[in-house]
Amino acid sequence: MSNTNKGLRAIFVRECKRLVSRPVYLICIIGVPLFCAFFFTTLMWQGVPNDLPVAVVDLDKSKSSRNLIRTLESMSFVDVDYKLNSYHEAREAMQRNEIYAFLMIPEGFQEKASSGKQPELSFFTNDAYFVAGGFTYKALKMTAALANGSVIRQTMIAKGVPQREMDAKLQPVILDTNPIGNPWVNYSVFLNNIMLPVMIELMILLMTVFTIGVEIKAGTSRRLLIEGNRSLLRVLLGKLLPQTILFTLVGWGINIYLFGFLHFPHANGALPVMLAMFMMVVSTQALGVFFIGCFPVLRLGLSSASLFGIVGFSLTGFSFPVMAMYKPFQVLANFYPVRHYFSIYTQQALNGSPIWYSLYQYLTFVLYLALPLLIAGRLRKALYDQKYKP
Amino acid sequence: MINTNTIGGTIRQGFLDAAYIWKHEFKTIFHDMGVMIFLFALPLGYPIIYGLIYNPQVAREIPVVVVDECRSPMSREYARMLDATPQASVVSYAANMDEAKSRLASEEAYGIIYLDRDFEKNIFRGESSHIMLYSQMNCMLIYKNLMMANTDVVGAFNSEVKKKGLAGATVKQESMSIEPVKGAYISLFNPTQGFASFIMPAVLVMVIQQSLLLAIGMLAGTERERNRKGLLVPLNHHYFGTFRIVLGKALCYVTIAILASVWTLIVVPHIFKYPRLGNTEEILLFTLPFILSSIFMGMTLSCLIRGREFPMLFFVFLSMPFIFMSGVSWPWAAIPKPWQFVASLIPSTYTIQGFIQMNSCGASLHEVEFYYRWQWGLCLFYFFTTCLVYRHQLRKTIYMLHHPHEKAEPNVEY
Repeated sequence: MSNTNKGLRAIFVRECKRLVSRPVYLICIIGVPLFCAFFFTTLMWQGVPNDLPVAVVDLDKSKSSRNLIRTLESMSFVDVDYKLNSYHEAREAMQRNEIYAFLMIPEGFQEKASSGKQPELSFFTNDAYFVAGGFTYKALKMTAALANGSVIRQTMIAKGVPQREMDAKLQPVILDTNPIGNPWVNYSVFLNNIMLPVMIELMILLMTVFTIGVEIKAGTSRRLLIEGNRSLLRVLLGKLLPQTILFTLVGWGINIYLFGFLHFPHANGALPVMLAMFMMVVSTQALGVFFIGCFPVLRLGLSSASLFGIVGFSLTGFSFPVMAMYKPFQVLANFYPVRHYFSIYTQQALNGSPIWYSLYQYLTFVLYLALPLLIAGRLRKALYDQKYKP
Repeated sequence: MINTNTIGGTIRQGFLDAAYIWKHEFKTIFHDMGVMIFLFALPLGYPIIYGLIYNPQVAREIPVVVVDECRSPMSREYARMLDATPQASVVSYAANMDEAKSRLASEEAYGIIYLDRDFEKNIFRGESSHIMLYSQMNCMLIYKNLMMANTDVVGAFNSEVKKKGLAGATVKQESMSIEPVKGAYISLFNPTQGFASFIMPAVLVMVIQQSLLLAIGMLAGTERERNRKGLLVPLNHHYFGTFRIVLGKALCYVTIAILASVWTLIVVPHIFKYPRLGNTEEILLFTLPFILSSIFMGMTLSCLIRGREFPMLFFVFLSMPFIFMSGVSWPWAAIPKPWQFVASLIPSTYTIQGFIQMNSCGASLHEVEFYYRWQWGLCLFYFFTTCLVYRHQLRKTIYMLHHPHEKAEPNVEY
């Protein structure tokens, strides 16, 4: 028994020494995730975009049209950067990527509005940019609603409708939106909470494959296997445990940074999410072992792990929902540990659901531990033969 | 033998050597499965994989659960109208909010509509009625669609209610008093708001850049590993000149990258029927400086790569920051200035913007002139850095040539 522990401890210590003496490990395990956390949170610091450039084509040049432009200017999302003279100019400005949207006020707008002839305002958005298109649309739509409201209000005042009835007459039904857990519809909250874990997952996959594959490449894997009393389990535990610790600490650090410092919502506290982070680290390592076991050649192992890992940014379903994808992708999505993390985070940090609803997802993490068993023989042989194929 | 003592002779020899290096690089690539995968399989396969993932373009029939405490014809009418929208689908009714929330927790639904007891009564009494929409916030597209569906239904509902209050009015009068100022919303580009049409142009450009970064990095890493002394420039008299190395290698990569670009930027959008308003020749011309600057950036960075497999560790993850730097998702205008500066040094940034403008918005080369010029500037910049780093590497090689017993560069440690 003491012999077993000795082998394990020796490999663990050996791995720790490697981690600190070769820059590639610390860059990939600590540097990359922390850089990404810094990059994405500072990139989307505003949370909700401010001052998106839009243009106005004012063909009326009246008091009403100027009022309308002032209303638009008062919206925080947009900044009326350009006052142009024709539709053509505005379209060209949009094609030059100078503006995301423009408003056209037709000639005779004021005259028609005051004589009840229903003038038409035209709003043009560029939906080749989703977020910018969406926010500028919102600002333009609000402007139109306010313009309508003020005309109707004036008619009602003229008709002598009492003040308290006006609102209900203007809008009999009002839509109240409650974005659960993210009332500001903050993009940074929405993206960083999940994109950073996907990034961590990618780096875990790469590092797990690398750390095992490189022993085969350098011709040190047989010695390693013998050092671990020819037990694959001992070799894997000893080699991967230091990375488990580091990745978990990095993951928790990012959780704490988002929840604690940036005050991102965490309805049920940070613990359920942090537990999921730890379990995700371990199950992703198991998946990484599976990859290098299937392709016990460093290059192939890394290629397949990066192919799989990078598609994870799409298949997690935070940008385009998984339920709208084709069936095979829906099935494939379930193989990503981070997909289960995503589900736990949604329920525990955003929705505030009772923890037992996430139990199934926590249990799924445990299933990944069975993956290395499928390729244990193959991997053991590869470690022993230590044939490097470029 | 060419006389290299004259300028003309040196130039001639230089071009011959460049041609030699070009050919040699080609041979290396075609004998290396790993590099071939990055240069050919990646640009061939990735656009297809991503194209298929996003091919449904829109998320329809998002399941919502309705809590109807009013149980009146009007509240039922609202739920029916919501169910009829393309974006949402009412999958079930819940007795109360707790039950509805449990549907969210078990992922049977992504949104809740709550209609209170006085919903109908308030309307008849001429008071405002409120409809509550609770939307799950883990995916913006789901929120956006539920918002749109409900905004539309509330709009239609409101005009119905208002019309009822205008007994005896003509159609024209009705529409006038409901909407005295008409609004026409025109989505000028990507009018169907397809998700693939929005994200794919960026992905396609990124695939080309990343394929070049990875392949060039792997070639350099392999060269260093194979070289006994860990040198990037081999001890071969054809390689004794910075320009001929840079020119020869770059020519080889350009040849392959142009093929990949035609497939990725022209054929793939055609296959998946993305908006293609641009002029094909102009788009290809626009991508030329991008390909060159990606290659030179790759060659500059490749000097840092000491092992064959290292590019995958350092370059793969960068695709995500690069995509976000381009401003396709989070708007460019909202990116802080320091990051805008960093982003402008990455070839993909302005190429993605320019490509979207041309391909999706029908801009001509003239309209994206700024991006085009900037890209040539970047190209020069990275050409210069490539020459600098290769000159340095060449000096090391020549030093080794004259000091053959000198200890080699410390080899890679794993």
